[in-house]
Amino acid sequence: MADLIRQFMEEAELVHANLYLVPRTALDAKIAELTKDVPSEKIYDARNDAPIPRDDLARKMVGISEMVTGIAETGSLIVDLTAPDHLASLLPQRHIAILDANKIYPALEDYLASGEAPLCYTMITGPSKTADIEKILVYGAHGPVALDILIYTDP
Amino acid sequence: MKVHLFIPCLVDQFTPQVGIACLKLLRATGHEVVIPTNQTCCGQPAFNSGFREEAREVAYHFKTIFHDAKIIVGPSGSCISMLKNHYRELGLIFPESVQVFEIVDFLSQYGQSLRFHSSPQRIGIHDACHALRELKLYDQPRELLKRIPGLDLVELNDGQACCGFGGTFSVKMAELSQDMAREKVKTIQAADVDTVVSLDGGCLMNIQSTAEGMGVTLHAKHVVEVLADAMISTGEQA
Amino acid sequence: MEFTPRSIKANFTESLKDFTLRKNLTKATHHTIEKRDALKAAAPDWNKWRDAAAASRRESLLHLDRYLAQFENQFTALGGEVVHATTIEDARSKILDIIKAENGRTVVKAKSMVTEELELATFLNAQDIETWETDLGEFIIQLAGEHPSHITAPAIHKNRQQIAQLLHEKMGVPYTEDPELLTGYARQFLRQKYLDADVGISGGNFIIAETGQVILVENEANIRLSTVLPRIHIAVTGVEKVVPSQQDYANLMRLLPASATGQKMAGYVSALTPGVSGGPERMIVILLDAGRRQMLASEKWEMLACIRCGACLNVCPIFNRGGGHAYGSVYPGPMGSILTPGLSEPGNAPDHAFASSLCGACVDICPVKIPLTKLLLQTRGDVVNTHHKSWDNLAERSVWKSWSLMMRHPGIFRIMRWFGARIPVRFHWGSDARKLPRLAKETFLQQVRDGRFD
Repeated sequence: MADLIRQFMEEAELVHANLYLVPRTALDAKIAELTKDVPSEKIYDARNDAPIPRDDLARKMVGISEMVTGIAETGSLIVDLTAPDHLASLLPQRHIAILDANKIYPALEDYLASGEAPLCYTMITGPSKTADIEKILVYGAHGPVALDILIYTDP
Repeated sequence: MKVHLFIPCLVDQFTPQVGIACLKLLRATGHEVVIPTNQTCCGQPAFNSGFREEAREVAYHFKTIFHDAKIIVGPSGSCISMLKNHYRELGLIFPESVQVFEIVDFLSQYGQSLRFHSSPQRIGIHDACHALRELKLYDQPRELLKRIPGLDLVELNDGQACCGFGGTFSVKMAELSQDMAREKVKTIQAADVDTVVSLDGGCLMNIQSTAEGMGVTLHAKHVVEVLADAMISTGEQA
Repeated sequence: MEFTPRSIKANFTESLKDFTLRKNLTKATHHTIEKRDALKAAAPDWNKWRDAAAASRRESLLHLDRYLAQFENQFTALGGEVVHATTIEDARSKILDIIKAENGRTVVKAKSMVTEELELATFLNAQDIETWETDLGEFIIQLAGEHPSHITAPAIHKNRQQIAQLLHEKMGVPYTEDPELLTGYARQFLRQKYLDADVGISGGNFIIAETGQVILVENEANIRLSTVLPRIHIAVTGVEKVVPSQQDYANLMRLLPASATGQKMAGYVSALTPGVSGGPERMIVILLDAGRRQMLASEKWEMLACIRCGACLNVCPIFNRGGGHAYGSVYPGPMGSILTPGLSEPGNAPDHAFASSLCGACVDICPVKIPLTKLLLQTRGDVVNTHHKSWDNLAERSVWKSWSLMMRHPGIFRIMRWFGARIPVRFHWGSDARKLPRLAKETFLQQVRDGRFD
């Protein structure tokens, strides 16, 4: 499993995500640290907060949500679109993705073969980006400008 | 082995020295060379222009002329690929027993006995598209040329880019073709060589003519010309 | 699929002189190829993936009706609707009907080549339905009132100065050449459009028969926003895009982003069916034929294996000298020169297939192993055979007829050569600088006949 986590982290870093590996018990402290400069009314934490209208969500600076799976081969995250929290990964400026280290699969084909995949999902690899102007990479095209991935482990 | 030598029309008409080089090399490697003198063209020009009926007529003539050949060898990637890969698209198929080779391919397999004297020169290599992509000839010309002592083989920048010949493309889309050819000549100049080798009569004619038009001194040669020049003939070898 | 009536040759004559355009193009295409080559070099299984992808695409095409029926069953069982469109006009009117029935006024549109075939944004805007292209490149093209010049990078023919000027003029934003700021202006403008739109229209990179999922591949998140926020989602896709299973799709995803943009994986890959939480009330898949079944029945059927990665454009020396606009058709480059006449008739874009030196770089790079040069040659044959009544064609045929006669009669060939060798002038070969070389004094075969080597 350590190999999978390492591979996942390396690949996700290559596509401009910020990676953090923490024990489950230190998760909240880490999130607090990452968002210390953000006013709390500008943060939407899909794990605890009640659903809010999408227009409001679009004005949040930070969206926090738990991912169902990670894919090590490409450093990708799977968002379950049948669950109500999926817009937290899309509308706010910055997305903090929480991932259980036990839920990392080697490759997309392994995940699909496992039968665990929801019918509707988005596989996220890095923050939103475009290279439509002179092939220069710009982050934050229409989705999140930045992507933080917090992988938690059970001690 | 008994080898039938196929001399493509462009080679025969414009650069007979390439045919002579082929003959010299094949004989030096101890093969019996048969040259059907009524051969003309494989049919590729019409085929590539979409005139398949006319191409088939000429291809059929070619097959008739070479009907008793078991091994066909010729200098030009695109013509050999026409035989090997495209005849079947015209419904013409060589029997399994017939083998077809670009001469460099043949020499790389059956030319181990060739010996070369020193020939210090810088030579650029342009990968002819069909030799490279349809016949997969990349290492073969390089390995043969590197057997010549003192020869400095230079890879061109973007050496696998097309020279812009493309048969009737060079006439129908002359400006595009010429633009590609000029770029090719420029990369050859940039490589600081005055001789460039390739495996296709079409590319060679295109590069040579374009260089002349640009006022650039350049010798475009088939690989076999360089090999034949540096070959130690049987008498000398003894 | 219409193309500009002016010949492709005239277009290239112009584009060859446009050094800004050529520089913009090659800078972008070479950059993408380098990244793709690096990924391929780092993937020892690349050829295995490629073989599997090629086989999978052909499996779909060989049993197209079966897989389409399976997809339709799955998708409708999940509450989706499938609409079959036989022609471009049919697709347009059916899409319009859906939007009108829903009282839709605003449409956000994701980038999709099939909707380019339909010229859908232009069509809908003309019907008073406010339609926005949301992919940054497409948005730029829409503002400029142009057509895309590349199937995956629609605005690569423009440099940042040109884009800066365009956004300044059309959107009234301050002039800036900073790509980040330019992207930001587009983001800000389109953000509200997504939230307000009634209908989202996307393409479909793949549709999966096994599960009824529509797969959408992107980097910007504009497709996510366009497909989950509006009330209605319409996905328009060609019938050939069906893949048998999730495993086929997973394998194709190893090749598509790498070949298209040199990325190991695209930023967002969505698998959609009805049932997105808080998502559209209706999801409709438009399955477009528009010449595809006709092509499937022809000897050029393998062209339908295409996954629209655009790698064949990037490596094409011709494409790099003019970009998509020189072709004047929706699909440019090697794939476009086969598709454009193949999906309609050989008389549509008759010169496209001839704008190729047949170098085969496209065949080498194609992730699904489409024999593009072979199909270009077949297309040339089709054009010649269906254009048999045009004067140019008759004239050319008479040349090839004479050539054939000469080549089958070496005696005649030799007499003609005797005359040819005595022509004192050297012919121009296409244009000024290049001239045909002189015929050799004696051919090799003449020397053989003379017994010179006995």
